[in-house]
Amino acid sequence: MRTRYEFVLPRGYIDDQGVVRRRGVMRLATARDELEPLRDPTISGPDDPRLTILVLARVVERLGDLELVTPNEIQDLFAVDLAYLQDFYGVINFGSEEDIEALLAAQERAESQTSPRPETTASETTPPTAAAGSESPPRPPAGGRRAAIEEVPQNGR
Amino acid sequence: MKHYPIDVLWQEVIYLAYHLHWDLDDLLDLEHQDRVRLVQGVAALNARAWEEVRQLS
Repeated sequence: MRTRYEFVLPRGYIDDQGVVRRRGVMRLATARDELEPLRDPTISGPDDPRLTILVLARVVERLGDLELVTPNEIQDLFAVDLAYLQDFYGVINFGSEEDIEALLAAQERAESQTSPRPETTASETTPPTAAAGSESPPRPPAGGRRAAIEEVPQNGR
Repeated sequence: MKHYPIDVLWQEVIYLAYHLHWDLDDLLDLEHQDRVRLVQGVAALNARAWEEVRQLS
């Protein structure tokens, strides 16, 4: 059974030097990944939007050549990339096999349609910010923006 | 972002701890789908055991 999935961000994380990182790896979440961030003193409760940042920082194992992904990198992502990771998390953890296959196939198709773009470039001048809602992203994430934390519907277990 | 309901998550961990006697650390490190599969497996074993008890009485 697969426990790690490769993703390709629509825009990519851009660091202070202008290096763009689009490819990464997310592992499946555990109970600990969702419980421990709730104990963080900066988190006010299950509805705190920052909870998402802390959970994603735990399960995103790699982003480009970064092997240590912290909440700093996650919160500096473009809004479109953060939304993409939120959807990706939902599908690989709570989706069916078909949902996962469809997501990976769509990602592959989207990537093959865009012109090849190097992983590292200094040509980006737009500063990365999670509040970059006014910019028009090159590709919207499947399923749209996830602004809030939703609970997975339980079917009478 | 989709997120596992915290009370349900704890119920599942407690259910498995009660029946399997595993360490809390091991239960917390189960991925969501594995934990749910274990809960369903234990529930099925319990249902079968109760059915046998009913047939004997």
